[in-house]
Amino acid sequence: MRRTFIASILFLSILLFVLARKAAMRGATFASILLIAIPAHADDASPLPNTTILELKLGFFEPRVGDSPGVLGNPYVQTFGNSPMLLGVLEVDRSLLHAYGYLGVGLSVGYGEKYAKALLADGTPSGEATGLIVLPIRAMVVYRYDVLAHVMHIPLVPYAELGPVLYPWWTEKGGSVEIVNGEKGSGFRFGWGFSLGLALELDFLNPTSSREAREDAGIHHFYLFGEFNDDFAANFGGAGINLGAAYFAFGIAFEF
Amino acid sequence: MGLLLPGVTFGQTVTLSVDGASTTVGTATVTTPTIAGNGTDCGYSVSGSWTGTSLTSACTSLQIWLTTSSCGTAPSTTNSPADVVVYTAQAGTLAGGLTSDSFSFVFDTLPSFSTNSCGSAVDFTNVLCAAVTIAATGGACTGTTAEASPVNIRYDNVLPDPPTVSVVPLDTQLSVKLVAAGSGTTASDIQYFQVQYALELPDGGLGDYITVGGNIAATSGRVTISDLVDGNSYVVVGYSVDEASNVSANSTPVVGTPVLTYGFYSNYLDDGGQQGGCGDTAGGGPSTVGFLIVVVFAAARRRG
Repeated sequence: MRRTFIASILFLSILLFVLARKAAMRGATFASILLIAIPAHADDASPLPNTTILELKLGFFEPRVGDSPGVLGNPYVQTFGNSPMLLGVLEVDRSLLHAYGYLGVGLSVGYGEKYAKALLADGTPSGEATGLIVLPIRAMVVYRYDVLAHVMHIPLVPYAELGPVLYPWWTEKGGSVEIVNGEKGSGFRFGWGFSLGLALELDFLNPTSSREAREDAGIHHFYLFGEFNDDFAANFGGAGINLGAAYFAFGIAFEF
Repeated sequence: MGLLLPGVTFGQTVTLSVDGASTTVGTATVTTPTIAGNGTDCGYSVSGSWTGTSLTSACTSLQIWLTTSSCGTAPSTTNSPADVVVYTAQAGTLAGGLTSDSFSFVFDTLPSFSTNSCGSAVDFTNVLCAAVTIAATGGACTGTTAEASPVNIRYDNVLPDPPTVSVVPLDTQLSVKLVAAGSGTTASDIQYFQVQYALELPDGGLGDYITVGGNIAATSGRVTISDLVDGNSYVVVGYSVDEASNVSANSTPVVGTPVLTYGFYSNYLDDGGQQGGCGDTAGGGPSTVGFLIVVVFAAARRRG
């Protein structure tokens, strides 16, 4: 139990390290990780079977278009107002090592769109709609610290995800892809992104049903979760539109 | 248009089919189980066929007739205008094994034309019926009557009202909305709309009218006129077409002027945004997709 506690501290330290924006803070955090990593590594928790987790989540997503190179104003706000788009995401994770926490890979695909009236020259709304559509795709390394739930029976699973992102995107006006002076408003943006989240394992609500779901349908756990995401989808500072965003998402997941 | 009567017992059936599998009478449109014609169809020969089963014990002739009222089990002798029999198969022929045959009648033989000349601006519906009586056990002609489901034959030579047209100007386009005039039966009678537009010339005249959108379903009532020039004015008119292919007079002309609009991408570029990166350089996008695929594949192989 002591080692589990130490490992919990380790996980939280890693989260702090990822979140720390300044180099000095990262250095201090890294040192603390080293100090506690060795005893935690000695833990001999028994391996669990590798599992797959399917997640459905919704988030409110407002891309950092105003941070695009060369952009003076904020075309997103100018067009759509201060209103984020609703983003739906389907994610599948698969563990590769499930001994001390859940270490695996994941792939997610999302869809978000935002529409408003295109503007006339005087800035008033016209009779046709314009839209921005994004299709965020992520490949991730996933770590879920499910030791709290499995060993200490605390139904909380903190987790972190990190990996490259690809953002196919397009704009529409009048029902088709917007073209301005022969330039098509569509393309891909890439970069990287991470997520930090906390899942609530729902088994405790009805242990009998949970056991039956595991035995009959092979579903090990159900979760509700919330997470913070930050995607840097701007071609690592290259020219073009910045579609990255920091956003919260919430959803349901089941592990089988 | 084969129609089966569900109420027949002992398995005897008579099915009517008019104009075969066709959905038109002359130039008119058919809405099952109604066929409709207008003033141009007066001389049109409507062809049909019937099929029956278990009719060898028929004790009356099988008759197909037109009436202005409900069918019943045989042509009425008291209706006014009188019912018009268009086909008869004698009982003996049926006993010999006849189970199907064809028939035809000219459109202007509809009973209601006895009081209305074909070509006049009237709208009425007559009914095509078929029936035969089967002998009861013991031979008495009091058995079941096999009746075909009737087919409505409509003559409609009344022009529909023109639609109400409204136009929303878009960028190089006009969005046109059409609403059927009238209400109830009059409005529901409209099958589709047609739209024409013409350029308003600087001298106040009009260019040639151009038809757009083909037949625009009445349930939709929307069409977009594309490839126009922003700033030019265009006159738009609409037409209603009813079940009998009658075309209305043109609607009140509406003028629309396409106008340049600024979508999200326009605003982005106007604010100094750049094209570039994967978005517009060939190969960038697919290579990134490939990279992601390699990552997932490598992870899967490691697991395996």
